[in-house]
Amino acid sequence: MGHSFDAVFAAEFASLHRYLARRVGAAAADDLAADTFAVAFRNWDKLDPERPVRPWLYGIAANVMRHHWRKERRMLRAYARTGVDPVFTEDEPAEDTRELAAALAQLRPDEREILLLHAWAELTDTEIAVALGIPAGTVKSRLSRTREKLRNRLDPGGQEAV
Amino acid sequence: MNTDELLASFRSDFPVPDETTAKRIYVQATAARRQLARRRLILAIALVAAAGIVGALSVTLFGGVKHPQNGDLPFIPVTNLSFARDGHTVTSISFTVGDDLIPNAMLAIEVIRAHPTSPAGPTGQESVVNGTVVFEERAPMTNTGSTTPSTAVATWSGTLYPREWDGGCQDGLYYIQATVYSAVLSSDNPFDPGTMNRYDATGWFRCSSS
Repeated sequence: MGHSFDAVFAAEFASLHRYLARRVGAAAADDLAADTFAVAFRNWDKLDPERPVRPWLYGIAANVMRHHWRKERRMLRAYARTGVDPVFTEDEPAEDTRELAAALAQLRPDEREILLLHAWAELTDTEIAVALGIPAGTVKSRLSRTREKLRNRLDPGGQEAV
Repeated sequence: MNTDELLASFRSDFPVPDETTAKRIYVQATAARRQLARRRLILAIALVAAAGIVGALSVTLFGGVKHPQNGDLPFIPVTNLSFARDGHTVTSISFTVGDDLIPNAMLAIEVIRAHPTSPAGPTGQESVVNGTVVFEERAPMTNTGSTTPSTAVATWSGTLYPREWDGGCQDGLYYIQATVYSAVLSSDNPFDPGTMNRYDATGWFRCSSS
């Protein structure tokens, strides 16, 4: 059965916007979400009705997001340096996760993309593979490598199992 | 708290957007269609016109090796190609891609390994169907700001490492294909039928030999 654009927008908008906002802040997320759904809307007739729409949508978002990789890294670095997370407005408290922000900023953009699609968008390896147009095996190995890299940066020499 | 939990909780209290925002973005997204279609038409006309002008000049480092793709606008030069080797094994490949038409472009890079029995010749065109994509990456290109005709408006420079390819660096024939496309005006997938893209490729090279 095919998907209706309106139904998909209603089901996915909030989580997609929140995912993007966690990466680059609410203001940029407005633009990115609008761009993502605009691309989806004009390509709606190309969508295979038998295929799940969520990975397709996040694949579009990943493409749109590529132009904001530097901004994302700048914001993570700023948070790591100052302790003030630029993603939040002033009255919203942020946890002290500066080390994590610094570690995320050090990742390659494609590593961060896969990691956050997994951790924040909660896509499976297969869905990430569909979203980014790469083999599922590649997703699995890159995700594993990236998580290990992150763990080592946060806890060098530690014993934590990830 | 382990790394996964820490990552999951990072910025997790970010609020979901309100209904007003949702409505505004829905209107923005669905109203953009006509405007985008018009911009795509303008770009298509510009591309066709420019393709005619630059067609005669489309000489690349490797003689303009052409591989099957959508559309027929094969003018982006892959230049400054440089192979670093350790003995008979390629350890890294640096190159630059420049496109003279598409600003705010994305670059799709694919490394293709020829099937061992494919008849890869000097250009390898006949064996493309027998190749396997062993690496792919997409990256935003950098706008140069140039307004001079036939100079790059978008460029990308980078290095590929064969150890990161599926199967690593094997004793076999490979080529690298670079496809430039507009992330704004094209489909999200540069290889979708009907998507405008422009491409160039290196010639075949052997990654490792004993």
